[in-house]
Amino acid sequence: MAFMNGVAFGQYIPADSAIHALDPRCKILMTLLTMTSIFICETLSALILWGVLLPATIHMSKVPVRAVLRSAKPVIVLIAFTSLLHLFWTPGHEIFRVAFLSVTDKGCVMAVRMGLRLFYLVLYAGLLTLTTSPSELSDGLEAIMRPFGRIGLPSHEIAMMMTIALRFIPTLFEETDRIIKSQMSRGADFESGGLVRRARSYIPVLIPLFVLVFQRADTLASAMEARCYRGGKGRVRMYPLKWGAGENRALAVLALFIAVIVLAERMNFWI
Amino acid sequence: MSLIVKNLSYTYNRGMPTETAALFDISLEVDRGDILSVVGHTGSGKSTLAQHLNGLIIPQSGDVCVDGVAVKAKSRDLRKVRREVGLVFQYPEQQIFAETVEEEIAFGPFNWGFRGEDLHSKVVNALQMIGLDESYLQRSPFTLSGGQKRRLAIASVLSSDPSYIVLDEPTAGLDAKGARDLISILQSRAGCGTGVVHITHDFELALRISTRILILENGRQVSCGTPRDTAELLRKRHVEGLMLPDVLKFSFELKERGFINSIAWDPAELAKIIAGAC
Repeated sequence: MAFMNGVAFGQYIPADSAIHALDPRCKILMTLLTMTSIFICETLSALILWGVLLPATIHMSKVPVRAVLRSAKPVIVLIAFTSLLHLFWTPGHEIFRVAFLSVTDKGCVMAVRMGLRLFYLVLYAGLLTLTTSPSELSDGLEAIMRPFGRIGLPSHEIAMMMTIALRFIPTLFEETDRIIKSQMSRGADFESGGLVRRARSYIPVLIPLFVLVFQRADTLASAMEARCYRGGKGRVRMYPLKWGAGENRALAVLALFIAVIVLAERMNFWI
Repeated sequence: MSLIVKNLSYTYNRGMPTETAALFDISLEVDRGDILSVVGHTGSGKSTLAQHLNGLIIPQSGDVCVDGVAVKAKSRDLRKVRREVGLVFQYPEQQIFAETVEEEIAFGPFNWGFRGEDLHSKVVNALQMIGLDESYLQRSPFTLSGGQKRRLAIASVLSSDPSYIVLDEPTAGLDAKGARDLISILQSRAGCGTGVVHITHDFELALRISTRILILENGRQVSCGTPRDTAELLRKRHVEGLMLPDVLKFSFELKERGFINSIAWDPAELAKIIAGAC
């Protein structure tokens, strides 16, 4: 998939690690917990602690560091922009001025804090998708959402739609890649010309892609019906989710870690 | 003037945990007018090789050279190479996008700079090559039959008059007549001096139509030679996932038992050999 290498999505990297083996529900819960705590923590030192946990977790997951960093690539601009806004627009003691922009002591702290916060959020979330296959992920989400079925949330249908969408992303990438290549073989040029011309040059890619997507959707619907798919009621799982001692341990470790951070913040140990 | 591949190797996702080697040390040469068949099982690297031949994949090691122009990364010659080597992907009818047959066939030559009367004559020419008449020009390609769509897609590559044409499993999914029509198009193209690289897993077909046959097994080149040499080689060596024609296997058996001296894959030829031996 030479032309699609830059896009990391559905980026699961299989490996034999303790994190890969965890129940997806556990991993989703842990990610949610981590993200919430990162959001509510106030001090720089708490963020530094989260920053210590991150490489440790990456090491445990046996996912290459490069792959983890790549998952943050699309939001780097957003993070930089947010940091800059905080740097210039936080009131406080002025350190120096560039024209009408003043940089304050608090601004510096805020900029670093916001930048790190967003960066961690993306990386921890990235770790979840890197270590959990799409099907495990939607199984886990379905199980977590099931209680909301009482208030009318169609958790199975949502999970099924997610599974199908995720399942087809790589396929569609491959097909897009092939169509792009076959139009390139016929001399199509996607690189030169102005914006309008370049956008127009993608028409010979988009039309065949749409045709394919509709055909695939049709075939898939028939295949599901042929196998008597009638929604989630009474369905059993091929791979039942298992919550065991390992999951409890993982949650306990995370809870302790968060407790330490919260305590430390409360007791004003650090800045 | 020929299409030359020398010591080509390629690995997908180099440096990632998902790294997979696709090609090891492949060498081949196609002259204009030749039909080279590349035969191998699914996943043997046939399609990866095909994409090297017109610069869609840049060689990681080894060389691909088209009429003296080497395929290199970021080279301006890449477009020149694509102009000279037409590539027909598997299920090429999936690339069809235009509203009319004419527009579809004209896409290639238009991109290479042909306009007006030149363009039109190229379109009509290509349409004739695939055995359709001018009444099809204004029809929507999506209304054609499966076999016609396949041929249209091939016409849309032939219309640029490439010196070489590479086809990835062109007969996949066609019925016997559709496949036969298509093969005769390839043979007549070769007859007109186009170099044809035909990728297939149908060894019987390869024996029948090729000047040379390249056999791939797990990305490695088993042999590259005339159909006769290749058949002779396969008498002694097993190749993974390769189905030998029954007639050929029968002639192997006969030769093994000393009834005949030469082998054949064509029923009539084998009958003649047997008759001569009796």
